[in-house]
Formats: sequence, C-alpha cells, structure tokens
Amino acid sequence: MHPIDELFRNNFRDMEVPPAPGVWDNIAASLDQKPKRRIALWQKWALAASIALLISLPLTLHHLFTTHTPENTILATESSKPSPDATPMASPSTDAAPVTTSRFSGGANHVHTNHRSESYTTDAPLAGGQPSSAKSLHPPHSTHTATSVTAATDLRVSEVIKPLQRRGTDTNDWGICTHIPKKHTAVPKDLLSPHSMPHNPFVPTVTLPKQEYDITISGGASPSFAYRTTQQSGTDNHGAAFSETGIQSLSGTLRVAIAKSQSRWSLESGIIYAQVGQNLSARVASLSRPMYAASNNGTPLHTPVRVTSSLGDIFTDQPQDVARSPIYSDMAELSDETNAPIYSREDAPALLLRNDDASNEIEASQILEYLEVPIMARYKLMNKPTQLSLALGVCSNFLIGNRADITYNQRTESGSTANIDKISYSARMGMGIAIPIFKSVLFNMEPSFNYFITPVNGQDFRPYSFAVFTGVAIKL
Amino acid sequence: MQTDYQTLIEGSLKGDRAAQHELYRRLSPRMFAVCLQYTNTREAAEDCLQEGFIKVFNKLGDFRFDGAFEGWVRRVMVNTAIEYYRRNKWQSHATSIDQAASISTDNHHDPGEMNAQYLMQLVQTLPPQYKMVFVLFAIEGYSHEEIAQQLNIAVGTSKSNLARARKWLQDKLDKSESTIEQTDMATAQFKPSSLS
Repeated sequence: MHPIDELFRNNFRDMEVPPAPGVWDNIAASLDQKPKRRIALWQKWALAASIALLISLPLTLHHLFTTHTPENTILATESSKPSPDATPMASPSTDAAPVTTSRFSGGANHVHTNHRSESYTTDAPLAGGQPSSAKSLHPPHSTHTATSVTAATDLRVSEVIKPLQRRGTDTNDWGICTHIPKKHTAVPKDLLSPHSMPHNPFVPTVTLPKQEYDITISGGASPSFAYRTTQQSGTDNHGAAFSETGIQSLSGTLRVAIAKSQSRWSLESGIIYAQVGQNLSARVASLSRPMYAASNNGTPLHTPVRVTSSLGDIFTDQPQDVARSPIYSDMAELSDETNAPIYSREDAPALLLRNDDASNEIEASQILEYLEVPIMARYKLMNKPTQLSLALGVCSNFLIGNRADITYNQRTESGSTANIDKISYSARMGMGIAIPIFKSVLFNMEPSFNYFITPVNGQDFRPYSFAVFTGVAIKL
Repeated sequence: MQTDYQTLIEGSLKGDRAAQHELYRRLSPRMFAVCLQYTNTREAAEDCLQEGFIKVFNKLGDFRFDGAFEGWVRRVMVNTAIEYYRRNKWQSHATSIDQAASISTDNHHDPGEMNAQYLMQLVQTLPPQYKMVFVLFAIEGYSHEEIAQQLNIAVGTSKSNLARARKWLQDKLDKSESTIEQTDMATAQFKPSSLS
C-alpha cells in the first residue's frame, strides 16, 4: 500500500466525530413523514386501475350491445288477450304449415303460432294431439309477459312439431292441439321483420327492447392556460430577482361517456392532451460559460448551460460532437492545468442568478406535454334538450414531451427540464353545456380546471391549468 | 455486537423511535467522519449524514444480517456521499485549509486526535475530484474501474487524479513537518525548561 494511503487509512478508518445534535431532529422529522414507498404503491395501483378500465371499457360496451338478450332471440310481449271467438289465421309462410287448430276446443283454445316459432316456450310436454292437453295449458284469460327461450325448450318443441308436420298436407287436418305458451313467449328475431309478422291479434306484438345504456363520444379542443402553485417570483438562493409566469397552450380531448338510460349520472374516460409549464425571466451576472470541450476540428465549443427554476433545472442539449470521446481524457488533463473542470450534461454549470442589478436578461420556457387518462363521473344538473352537467374525476398523466428553451443575447438554445416524473396524477373538474344540433349530435362547451395532486418534479411543483373545451358530442 | 444491532434493527423496523435513535447514536460519530471525508464543509457533511441515515432507516428491511451491520451502513453512507458529490459537483470547489470543516472538540487534545484532525483538513482542501478518487481508493478500497463508473469518469482520469492527490498531500505534509520542526526549535529556544 502506498505510504500516503496507509497514513490516511489508519487515521480515518475508525475515526469518530460527533455530529451536531440537530441532525437527529431532522432525521426524526423526516421519518415521521409518510414514506414515499407507500405513495409509489398507490400510484402503481392507480395506474393499473386506469389501464384495466381502458381495456375493459370497449369490451363492456361490446358486451352491452351484443349480449343483453339470448342469442338469436328477442323478447316479445303479448299485447292482447286472445279473443274467444277469434278465428285462426294462417301464416304467410309457405314452407311449413302453421300450427293452428281449434278442433277440439272452444274459442279459448285457439292457438296461433308459426312454423318458425319453434322457440315458443313449452313448459309441459305436448300430448300428441290430445285436446285435454291444450285445454289445460291454455287458460282463457292468460296474462302476457315476456320471457326468453332456451335451447332446451327449442328442442322439445321441435320434437313435437315434427310429428305434426308428418300428419299430412292438409293444414286443417292436424288433429291435434298444440301446446300453448302458458304465459310467456319469445319469437325468433326474424319474426320481427314486417314481412313475416302476421296481422293477427293473437300473435304476440313484438316490441324492440329499450336501449339500456347511452353511449356518447365527444371531442374538443381548447386554448389553455397553465400555471403552478409554487413560488412565482422573488429571489433565489443567491439573492437575485427572478419571475416565473404561466404558459398558454393548446389542449385536446377525446372521451367516451356511458350512462344508464334516463339516468343523470354518467361515467367518462378517454384521453386528453395537455401542456403545463412556465416561463422564466431572470437577470444574470454573467453569461460566460466554460469553453473547454473541443470539437473534432479543434474549435472550442460551449458546454451545456444549466439554469435553475422552481420546476427544475433546465439543461440545454449538448452539442453532439462534444460527447464523451477520447478527446475527453485529453481535455481532462487540460482542465487540471487550467484548474477548471470539464462538464458533462449532468454537471453543467449553472447560470447563477447572482445580482439584482445584473444587466443580462435571460428568458426561458419550460413545457411539459402530457397524455391524460381521465376517469370522471358526470351529473346532469339540467336534462332538457340543452344539458348542463358537472364532472369530477382524476387523471393519470403520462409525460410524452419535455421541452425547454433558453433565450439570451438574442440566441435561443433548446434543452429539457431535469428530474420530471414520467407519471403523475391530477384532479379534473368541468362544467359542461351541451346543445343539440341534430338528432344525435350536440355542440359541447366545457370550462375545465385541472390540478396536479402529485408534484411533477418529485418535490413541490403542482401545476394547474384552465381550459374551455369546445367541440361536438355524438350519441351512439 | 451484531446481536445488539439485531434487536435495535427489529425495533427500528417496527417504528420504535427509541431504537432508531439508539442506532443513530451508536453509528453517527463514525459515519459523520466518513461524510466529512467526502465533503468540504461541516454543513455539507451533516446534510450528507442526514440523507444517509434517512436512507438507512427506509431501507433497513433490505439488510439481510449476512454481514456486519456497520459495514452495510457505511456502504449506504458512501453511496450517499457519491450521489451528493455528483449532484453538487458544479457547485464544488476547492476549499482553503482555513475554510475546511473544523472537527475538533473541546475535550480532545491528544496528539493522535490532533493528527487525525489535521489529516482531515488536508483531505478537505483537496480539489473535489481528487478528493473523491483518493478517499474511495485509499480509504474504502474501491478499484479504479469502480471509481470511474461511480464518478462517471475515465479509468485513466481516476488513476491520474489519484497520483496527483497523493503528490498534493505529500507536499502539504512535507511543508507542515518543516513548519512543526521550526516551531519546536523556536519553542526550545524560548522555553529551555521544557526540554528537561
């Protein structure tokens, strides 16, 4: 071991120096705060929930539209009672005879069905033409409600219908009484066609089911103004004046809302593009910066500039040919001699804001672009043709852009803001007005306020933005 | 000792503030000395110590009792010091020996303590990058490859910085020795009785 190393190692290895008593107090105070890990866990859950909702929403909508009734059947309701003296009516269909008989029973036993209506519900086996069966199954004044048909009952009916069809070609000679639906009936969907619907008072009147959910897709855009809640102006750590102001930008939204029919409540999700950030203006004492890194042709180039702000440090992009290279080692030697270091991007010198009376002005803008995934509940305060609603919800915000520009000496350099979180969360509130233009198209206007509930820079910078989204909504 | 630590660690994990304080009380003097080696002011060293201990308590569950607890805490502290250096590198500058953190206490006057204090002041006056390389190599036993990776510098730079740091320290020690010798001689001349 080198003697100098040994000397210091021996003296330092077990050295003890008591720190100031206040250090423990600070540590204890920090430990009292909520651990960051718990927040991180909550953030992960919120993200997972957002993704799950986004994935499940289209599936749910698809499910609602396709499977709210059994396949190939549709609910039907008998709208009238069979008249005791009504006469049977043949089906317009020709490929099979209608099951129509009244031979063995009075008017109350008239049965009306169709060869296609094999899906008529049967809740008792047919008696193979025994009139007593029909009598017992078809009370004169049955009530009429709806039901659906199952594959099992289809099978049972078809087993009965087939022997009937074999009896003969004379439609008047069925010699049987078919089974009568007791209370409920369902018809195949194709019966709903006007061509196949006989005008018979005994045929159940089929009505379309009322749509249970309303789906609305809306889109809009807005100029927006973004600001934040931290210090807006004042002096920095070096006593220099600076001021930070909000930015103006554009926002856009595409949302899907689902609501139960006639309900005032609806649930919304979708995607929102938004920008937040700030403009910074400050006076600096000196704009000179080290010029130790050299390009390949030997010309000295500037190292990146770093400017501090409440959102985070701005770094200008490093010129590509000043990236770490063999030349870096040589320059390190040079830097030793000149007693000045070489700076990488991370170590770029700050343009310190030192003096109030400094003559150099710099302007900087920091813009963060987000894709927000909202989950919002909306309540219609007014549900006339013109709607007025209040929406409230949370957004998971995914950082998709981080841009910063520094302008000084009539020269602008681009870069980015350091240490911005990739994901953050915000609360969003809006007051929407929707005015019908056409039958299913509405004009939409919604003043909206968005506030970040988690800081975007991991510290204390919580932006808020205000926008008035204007666009259209289409009811599906 | 490890058993003692185990009880304190378990208590700390349950949030027992007394156990946490006891752990801090036992380890902080040594860890503060570590932080002083990597920083150039007492305030910076205290910041580093505070940050390091918060990490220790937050990551205490990661300690597997498969090694010395003090060694684990020391590694956390060194890593914290490296992060602190990287974060504040642009602000760092060499400190004159007058500005170096005073680590003396009123109760310590023995020659060994004074020697260590002087050596600490010397290290603190090293240019920042020399200091980081020297302490990581000579005190912590890191290799040049590890140092280069941690400080984001070239291996060659680490080696040259170490050589320069050693030379710089050697020069300062040589100067101080000659000063002490002169001082001793002067003392002997004006206070002959002290030689008897």
